[in-house]
Amino acid sequence: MPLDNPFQDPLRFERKLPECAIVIFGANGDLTRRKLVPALYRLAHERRLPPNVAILGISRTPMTDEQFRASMRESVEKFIEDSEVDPAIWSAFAEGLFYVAGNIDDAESYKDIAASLAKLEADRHTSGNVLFYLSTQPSQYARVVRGLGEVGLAKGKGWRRVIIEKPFGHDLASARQLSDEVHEYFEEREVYRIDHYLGKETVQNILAFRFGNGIFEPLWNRRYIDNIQITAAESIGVEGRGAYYQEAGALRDMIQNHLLQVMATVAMEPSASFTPDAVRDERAKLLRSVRIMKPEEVGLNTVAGQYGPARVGGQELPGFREEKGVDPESQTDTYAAVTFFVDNWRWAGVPFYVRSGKHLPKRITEIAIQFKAAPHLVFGEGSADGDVPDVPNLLILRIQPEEGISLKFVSKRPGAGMTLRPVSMDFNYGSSFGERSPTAYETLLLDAIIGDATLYTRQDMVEASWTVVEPIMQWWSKVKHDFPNYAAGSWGPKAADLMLARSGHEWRKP
Amino acid sequence: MSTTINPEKILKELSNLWIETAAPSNETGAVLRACAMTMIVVADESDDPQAISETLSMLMREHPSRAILIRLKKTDGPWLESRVFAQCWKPFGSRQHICCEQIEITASEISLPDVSAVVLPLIVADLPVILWCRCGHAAGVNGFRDLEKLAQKVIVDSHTFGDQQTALRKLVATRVAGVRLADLAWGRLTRSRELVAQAVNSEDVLAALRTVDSVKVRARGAKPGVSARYFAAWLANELAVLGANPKIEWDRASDETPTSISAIFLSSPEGFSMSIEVKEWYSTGVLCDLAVNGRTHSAVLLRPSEYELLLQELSIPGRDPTFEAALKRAATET
Repeated sequence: MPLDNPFQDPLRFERKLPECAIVIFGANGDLTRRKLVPALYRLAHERRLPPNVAILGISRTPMTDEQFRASMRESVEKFIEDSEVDPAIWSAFAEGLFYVAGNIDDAESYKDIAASLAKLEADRHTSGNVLFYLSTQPSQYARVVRGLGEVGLAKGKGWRRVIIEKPFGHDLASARQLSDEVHEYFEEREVYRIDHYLGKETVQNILAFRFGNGIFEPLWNRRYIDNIQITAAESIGVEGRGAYYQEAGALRDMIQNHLLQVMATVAMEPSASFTPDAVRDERAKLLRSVRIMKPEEVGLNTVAGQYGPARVGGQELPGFREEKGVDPESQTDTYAAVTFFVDNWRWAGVPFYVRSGKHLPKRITEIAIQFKAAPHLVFGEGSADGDVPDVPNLLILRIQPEEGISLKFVSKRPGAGMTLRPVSMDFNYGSSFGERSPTAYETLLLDAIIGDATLYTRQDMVEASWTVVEPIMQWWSKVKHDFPNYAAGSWGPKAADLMLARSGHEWRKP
Repeated sequence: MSTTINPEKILKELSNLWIETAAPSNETGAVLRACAMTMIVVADESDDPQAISETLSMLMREHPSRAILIRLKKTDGPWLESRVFAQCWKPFGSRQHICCEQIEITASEISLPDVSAVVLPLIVADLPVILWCRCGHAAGVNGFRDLEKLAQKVIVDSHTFGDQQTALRKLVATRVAGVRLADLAWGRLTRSRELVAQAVNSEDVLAALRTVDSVKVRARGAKPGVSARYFAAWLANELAVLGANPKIEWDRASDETPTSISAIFLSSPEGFSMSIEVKEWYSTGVLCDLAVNGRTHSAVLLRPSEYELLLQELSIPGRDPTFEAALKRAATET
């Protein structure tokens, strides 16, 4: 039996990360420049990375190590949030940056990568631990994994892990196929499917809020909750990503992964422990409990939308079909709203309204939990000064921006008479904790290096969420939508309001 | 001379302070009032007010609190006076200032017994209360025990106590009485303990440590200081977990004034050896050599600031069993 080190003091000692090499495929891409390398630099800045970490960038563009370092420095300076680049820290960090120019489709490239990793292991003492990050086109995931497997890089002296960016397939069949291809070389416990929403501090806080407090969980069910609204709104359009977005759409791009995972976090049962598989088991169980729509239910419970041109604040905004690279007859949904039901004892009959869209009035992601009204209105009609505002009790979990929690309730207005008015009790993450919150990529990269998969998506979760959205995708593909059906800068199509109105509800305007 | 203070009046002053701070004409503009605990600080009047203020304002960012600073005045008669003020800062990218309130009470030692009744209504309801005793002699002043009873956690620095062996025994007694205790002197050892934990973090070394039968601790000074006692006690405790129970031998190098640890040597009859030896002493820290079976590497251990030490203690909301075990052993052995 391995000996535990009794000299460790986890209460006080910093969590030490194992030495390792991080191999980024797509090292010249947008995600690497905007998110990954700034997150890794930030971790180095906070001394969270092992000092001998090696980061090996792979891309087609011919570049030397020095050119790669200069290019990454430019990106870090441009994209790092809330701090400046420290020249001394950068210099130490840059010493660990290396580059191999290679073609993902060329088997020889993987031999070059293997040779570089062997050299890095010797030079930087990375103990043979390697984290592969696939930041490439999704269609290349299987090819990269096969390339790694064929030269023996999927196994080695140390641990091997692979991070895969979403989308994990474009439907259930392709998700399964990708999984099978990955599993030829990596075991499921070595596969880290990244959903950066789950790495957000406020999404993690949902678990703390629900299961760390005794007062909310008793109310967290069909007896007290009337409906739950999950909104992920973008104020911008596709911003030059029209060609990519045309193939994805809001349902695939946001709801199938991010928002269903958020919904699972809001609605899951408490896990027995906070171990990765215990938490993921509960999320997966919840996703499997989401009612699968029959074709005739899809029209009633979903709304697809696409933004049209509009003039906002004196500025002309193009419609989606006028965006660069977009088919003028495109049937792609830039807005999707879905009413989900969870078929279990806790949530039977409670609608989960989930919506996401581009070019909505503001950028906001939030979960609004609307509680049932008081059973008897003491201050209703008949009382002399009665004035009951029609405002339900709401618990708002704000994920971005201005992360925090608000509780809305009614209160008596000061003065004579019993006049009530809604008030808000706010907790603001930024002002209650002076500490800077790590970005989602910082959290998730650290977790992958440590080997903690709690915030990563497991294959059964991916399959469950595709199973939920596939009937909607199939129905929508058969219908010719009357697009565009909402103006850029508005809160989406009228049909989405009607979908809620049928149940006596209305969308919250955050 | 002021000999009475009224908590109601202090609360009223605090309320006015917030109205004033949040007034549109005030240059701080909109403010958020942040508070996650009450922090009672007991300091000597002679303690550098600038240093205390800086430490508290840095702590406010991670642990926003209502700070109640009690300054002990060296005067014969009764003396009590108070003032209130706010500490504000603007986080990067934020539109609003965040402000925390501070109450300063100056009391003569003879008036300290009157202070706990003033502090009681000033405590923020439902939030933790931390007492940081910055001057060792305050612990012996009449009235301190009543302040201690208000707190869920008491932070001391045993380096500031006169007789350190007696101080450790008192700390054990306080702990036995149910007070959750922290000692900044223990926090100062964190980096060196971490160094040891890393050095032995392999199956081979841990197995070899089981056979250790000799631990020699070299301390500078006629009597080993609290840090040396803590370190030796911690080593002995963790070796015992592995199954080794060596006798700790003290090697007092000289009668120089500093009483800190300068070297530790561990060895076993099977030939295993390990040592940690301070090579250079700087104003900011020490350079030490750590050797395991002849393989040596050097490390610089920086001296943590008061702020860093407090931050370390405030990040441990519950009990600290490792510290408690070391305290118990350090107080009874040597």
